[in-house]
Amino acid sequence: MSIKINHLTHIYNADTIFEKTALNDVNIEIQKGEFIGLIGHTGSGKSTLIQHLNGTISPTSGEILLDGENIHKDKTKLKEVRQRVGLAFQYPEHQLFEMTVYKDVAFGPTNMKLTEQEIDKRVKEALQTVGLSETVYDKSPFELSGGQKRRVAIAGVLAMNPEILILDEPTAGLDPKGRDEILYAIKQLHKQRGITIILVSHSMEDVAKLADRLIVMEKGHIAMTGTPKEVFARVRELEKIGLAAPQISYVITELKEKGYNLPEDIYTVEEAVKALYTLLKGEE
Amino acid sequence: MEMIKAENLSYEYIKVTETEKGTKEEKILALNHVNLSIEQGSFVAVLGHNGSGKSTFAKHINALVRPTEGVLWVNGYDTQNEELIWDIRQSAGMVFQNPDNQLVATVVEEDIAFGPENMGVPSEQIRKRVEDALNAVGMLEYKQHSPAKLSGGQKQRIAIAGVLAMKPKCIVFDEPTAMLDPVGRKDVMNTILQLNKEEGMTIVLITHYMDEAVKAEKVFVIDDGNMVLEGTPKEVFPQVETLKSYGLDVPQVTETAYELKKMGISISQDILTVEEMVGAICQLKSTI
Repeated sequence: MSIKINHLTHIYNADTIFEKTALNDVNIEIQKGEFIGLIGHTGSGKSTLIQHLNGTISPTSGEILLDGENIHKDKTKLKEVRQRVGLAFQYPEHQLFEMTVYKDVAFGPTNMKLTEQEIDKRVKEALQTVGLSETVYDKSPFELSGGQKRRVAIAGVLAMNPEILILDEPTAGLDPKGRDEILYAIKQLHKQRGITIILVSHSMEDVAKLADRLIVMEKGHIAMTGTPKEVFARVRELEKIGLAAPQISYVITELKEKGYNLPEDIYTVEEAVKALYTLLKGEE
Repeated sequence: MEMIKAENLSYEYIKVTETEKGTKEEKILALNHVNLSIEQGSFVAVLGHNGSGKSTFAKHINALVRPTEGVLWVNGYDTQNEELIWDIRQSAGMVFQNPDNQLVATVVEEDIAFGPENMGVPSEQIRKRVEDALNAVGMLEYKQHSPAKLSGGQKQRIAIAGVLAMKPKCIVFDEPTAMLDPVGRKDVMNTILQLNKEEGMTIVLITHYMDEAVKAEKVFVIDDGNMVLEGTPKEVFPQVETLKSYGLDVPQVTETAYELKKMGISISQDILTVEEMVGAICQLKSTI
């Protein structure tokens, strides 16, 4: 399913003294199967944007097209839109409530009035995708570690079989191990199911590892878009809008500013090691 | 003088879990004979993955929990002694992960005054304490604002000011930046560093962010309740494989230096910052 956003503007509290333009003439196209990293500092409009994508809030002006169809054209279809576009909020583990992991993941599909058999299949598939084995099925979700809880919550969204999955800060507050587990699960999910993923994050290291394309937001509009390589090469601009590139990008940028000949588009440790090795050994 | 000293500190508890098949009990040793000392006025970082015991340790400093074995002294007070509990809590303040859980009033200055009021500080002194505390975190102009309208980083600085107004000698920060964006993180870290450098406050920072930990004078690593590594950042972080085995990160520049060395480049292994890395590469280039 492709997403097309045309001239989307959203104004909170319009015509009052609290009026605030959260999105200002945003235009984006996202292809089926793309892995998008959506970054921007608090208040840049990224949460407002993702809430538009599954019809949680409506545009002040402009339109959101899913496979060419305006999601607000027929309001009775919004429920279907929300099934097709799954949204995992920040701290999704706060939304866990069932007695067992299995029941919690089954909640969505049960409400969709699917057959027992289909529900069972979806729950098992979703839990497998996020890397949770049968041993946790009967456990209380509250017994699990932070990273596991969050994976259960994501499985709950997955069990609705969305075509697009939006994850709002899925690694916030986790330790490095929990973070790596979640990121691995998301990567697998994208690989296995080929669904479109939009990952909202402050962590440049995280998005650098996963996304095909980045969308950088600032003050309600799109400030940059491009591959991670293209975006992280613009370290100084990112800094100006309150974002940070991965630490290693700064090393490369500073060395380049000192006149050393290095490729511009380095943002992982592996790439940096290779480039610096060539720089140091190349002239011997 | 030592601000915090642990001698053979252990903490054991019984974990009860409710399952559909009934209740289950198991003994958990959250801290296992930990020994450490933290000097007054120093800035230390405590690292460890979730469930390693680092938050349990932090709660001991505030006497929220007491050792089941061994002793912990805070500002010379034995935390086992219940009569000293208010002296202990006044010596060591705590700032938690989520600022929303720590703010109590609807106006910033009232929130800051909450602590000193409960301590029975005379009201004319409270006013001064509130101003001083807000000044120290750079939030004086927000005195009359509602905390609800502030950003995450600003809220966290208000929470810090609330602790400061009680004039502690030490503040324990339990992942204070985990819920903040890069701008908020930077502001809070600058505030913490400033409190240490300018006010001489003893700082215990629990964090998962290695770029924050490298700023500490000393780093402690806890794994499964055991104190497994201790030293300056320059001593601890070059142990890349060991840290990874404890489920921790190392700064990207440190890892890069480690990998380059493995490939036969004689680069210093205690590189912790972008500046140090850039310096080291320039030096290597000029000597070739």
